[in-house]
Amino acid sequence: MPILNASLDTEFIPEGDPNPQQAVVLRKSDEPIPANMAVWILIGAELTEFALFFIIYLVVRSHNPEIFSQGPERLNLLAGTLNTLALITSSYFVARAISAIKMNKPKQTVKWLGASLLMGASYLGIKTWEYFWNAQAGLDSRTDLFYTLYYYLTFNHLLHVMMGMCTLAWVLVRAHYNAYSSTDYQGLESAACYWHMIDLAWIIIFPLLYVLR
Amino acid sequence: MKNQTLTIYWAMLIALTLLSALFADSLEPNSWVTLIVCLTIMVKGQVIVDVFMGLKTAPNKIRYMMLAYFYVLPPMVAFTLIFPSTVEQITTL
Repeated sequence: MPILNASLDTEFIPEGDPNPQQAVVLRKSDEPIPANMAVWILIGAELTEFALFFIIYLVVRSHNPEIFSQGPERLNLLAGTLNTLALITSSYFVARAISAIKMNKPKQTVKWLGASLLMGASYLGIKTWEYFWNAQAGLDSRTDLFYTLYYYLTFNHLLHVMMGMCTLAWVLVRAHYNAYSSTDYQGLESAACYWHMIDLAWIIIFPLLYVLR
Repeated sequence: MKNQTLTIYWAMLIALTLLSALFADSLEPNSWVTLIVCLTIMVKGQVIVDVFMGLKTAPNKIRYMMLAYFYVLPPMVAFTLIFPSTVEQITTL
């Protein structure tokens, strides 16, 4: 089966085919949707929610530039960076889990999912440390508008991470009992896509709150 | 997607994250830093969507929906940070 050239949305005929008329013609639109449509609707809804809060953050910031330029300076940049590294690595491990199941290696899949959950747990640990660190520095959600939005965004994201970890734990157990194979892994792929969505949201939260002053 | 390719892209994402952290820690905020950081958001988003989620070969509707997030939001962030008074005027009732 030829590999579809992803940059094109046109039909693809493999080179050197002895009989072009009978060649397999693939269109990008013929490719199946990864995971299932319900998960993409959920992901769309979740990302829309985050987008609305990013827009609110930007509008409030434009009206309060001084507060928002000083806010990131008092945050724990190390914690934010470590959390970003943990989530990116976790996403990488999930991608490896999908790659392993496509090669029909369920034990490898379990291993990568376990590693991903470990990274998720690291995120929770770092976030807890960060919140304690903030409390000791006298920062809370009522300090000023920046910290109100900081706590709303990060705690909301934290809840999503916890929900994503529950989903990953569920597919890990199912993978352990050989529920997935190289031809049947839609449930695993759905959980993986949801987990990547959580990473995508953090990719914007991190620079917005910690980096851009 | 080959495992080696996944690993290369993971290393790239790690490098971009550390670069952003370095900017935050050592550089004074200015328009160029804002633009570079927003560009790194776009690149990171595209890598996760296309490589980790595997949407590069998915139907365009799904792929474009996800990519649009990273083609729209980072420029909005950059615009707000570089022209805050314009955004303030637009959003004042």
